[in-house]
Amino acid sequence: MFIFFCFLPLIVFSLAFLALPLVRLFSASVEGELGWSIYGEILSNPRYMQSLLDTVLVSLAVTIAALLVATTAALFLTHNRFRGRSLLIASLTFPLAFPGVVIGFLMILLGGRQGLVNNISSNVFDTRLVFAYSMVGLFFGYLYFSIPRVLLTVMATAEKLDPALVEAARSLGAAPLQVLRDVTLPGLAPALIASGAIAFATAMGAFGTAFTLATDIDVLPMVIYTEFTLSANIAMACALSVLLGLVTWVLLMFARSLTGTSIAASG
Amino acid sequence: MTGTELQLLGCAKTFGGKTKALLPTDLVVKPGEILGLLGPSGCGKTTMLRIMAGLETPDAGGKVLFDDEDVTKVPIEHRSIGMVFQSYALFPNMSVRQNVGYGLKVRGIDGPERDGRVDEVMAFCRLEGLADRAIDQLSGGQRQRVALARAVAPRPRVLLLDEPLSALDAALRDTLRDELAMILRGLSMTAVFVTHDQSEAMAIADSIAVMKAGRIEQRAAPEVLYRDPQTDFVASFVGGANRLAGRFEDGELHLDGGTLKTGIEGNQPDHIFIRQEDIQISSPDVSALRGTVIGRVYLGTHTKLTIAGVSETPLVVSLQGATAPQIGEIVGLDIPATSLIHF
Ligand SMILES: Nc1ncnc2c1ncn2[C@@H]1O[C@H](COP(=O)(O)OP(=O)(O)O)[C@@H](O)[C@H]1O
Ligand SMILES: [Mg+2]
Repeated sequence: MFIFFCFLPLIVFSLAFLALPLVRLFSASVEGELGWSIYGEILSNPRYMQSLLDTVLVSLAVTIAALLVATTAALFLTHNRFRGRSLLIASLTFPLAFPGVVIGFLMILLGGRQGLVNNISSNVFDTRLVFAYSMVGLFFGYLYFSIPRVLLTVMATAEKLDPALVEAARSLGAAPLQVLRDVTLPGLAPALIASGAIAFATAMGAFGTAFTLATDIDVLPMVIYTEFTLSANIAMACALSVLLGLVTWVLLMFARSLTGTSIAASG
Repeated sequence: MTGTELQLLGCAKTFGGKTKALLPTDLVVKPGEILGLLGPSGCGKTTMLRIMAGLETPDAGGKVLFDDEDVTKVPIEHRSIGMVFQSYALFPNMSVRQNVGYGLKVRGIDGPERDGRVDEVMAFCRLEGLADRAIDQLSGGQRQRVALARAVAPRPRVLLLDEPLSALDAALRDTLRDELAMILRGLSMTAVFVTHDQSEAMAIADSIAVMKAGRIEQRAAPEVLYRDPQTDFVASFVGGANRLAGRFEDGELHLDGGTLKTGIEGNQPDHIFIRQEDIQISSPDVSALRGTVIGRVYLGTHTKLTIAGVSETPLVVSLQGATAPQIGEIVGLDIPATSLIHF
């Protein structure tokens, strides 16, 4: 009985905030004039499929880049003590508080037509360098808010790794890269999987940044927004949302099983 | 004996410019010798071991030699040492076989050669049948032997062990201590192991360096340390000897509980030591030295008595035989002059 009461909040939460809205979303998607064939319509529409592919690719690129940058930084910060370290760590978490719109502003300030990078490159190299309004701008924007999430998770785990493990590997003759491959990364694996999943899912669903940078970025959340507000095609917006959720979920499951087997087979 | 001679020359270690973990130390471990580093917690044992391993560099001027080769600046991965860590530090993502074979793997030794050596070492360390186990399926004693097997598999020049028994249950420790002693002896490899437990050091080592506050107090074979300690610290820490402090007069030591004939002439110390098993209990009427029993622990082969009122601190007496006095009894103490330890 007591156990049941412990589960109660989880059950209520799952039903109220996950299951019910999802069921409603799904039923709304097939209640339009196309009925169930709306999903066939999506699959045969090159614009939708292209935007899905672009969304997956940019999210994947962001996840990989964030894991690389954040893991390197986390390992450095864990093993080195220096003046201003805590201040640096505190300020690295800064982007967490920003909404996507602000991240978009920052990207425009950096890579827009009047941006810092363009000003410098125009004056010094006499070439225009504008990347804010494209997938590249989106990539950097997403990277900017993904790195802190990954960094914090990886650092928390890196600090708990027994330093004797690395010393043991070295005592057995392992070179630094072998230590990284055989000891450090396997030790960090749970954190890398968890934070990579969060980074990927967040990037798949991010909207504010794309909306701010706008013009020619067609990621799936933008398409959903357009269908919903401009075309008032509610069934299509719902169907695309279901697709977005489903693809993210399947890819995360796939990555999880893949890393699971690779960890078991390592060594 | 085969093996590498290990030498420390003037090795000291200061942490953060002020903590002197190790004072300048010279030490030679002969080829094939098993040296025990014995001392209380914080005396610098691990620091010395890590200098030997190459995990710490000694302060300027210190040197580490393997045979005639100066390895002071050689990092641990190129020193060819085997190390057993206090926590064992087994790789949790690898099986027992993968752990034991890791040192061979990173040296590029593969296939039958690696498997053969791993099987050989595992048999030697009594790990048959455990090859495919995961680390978290092993008992404490098995983990310790996996750590040992992993360290010796690549045939290191020197084997270093940091408190290899301290992570184990007290109930198992005695058996595993004797087993470890046998395995180490069978390896005939130069070995240094750290412990804070004198019986462990006695059981395993050929030679013991007793450490206190960053320096070696005495370095000798176990029986020499026990029979002939050179400092107060060695007498009490290694031998568990009792300290008797009082006023000397004409070869007699005047204590709270009476007088003790010492037979000491000339330079008279203000305190002497007497080992627990060298004190006999007798009748208080005939003895020149008396005290009250305040503690009594029956241990099967002997009884440990704590006796107050003899000297400043209570005396511990280890008594063989069945008829030990009870708590509260006043007893006489016979202390033969020939058993006294003084400096
Ligand atoms: N990395 C370190 N930084 C600062 N002080 C240290 C470090 N390692 C050890 N010490 C200090 O050096 C002294 C000796 O430590 P250690 O060699 O670990 O002792 P033991 O192994 O005998 O218990 C202790 O006072 C300890 O606090
Ligand atoms: Mg220690």
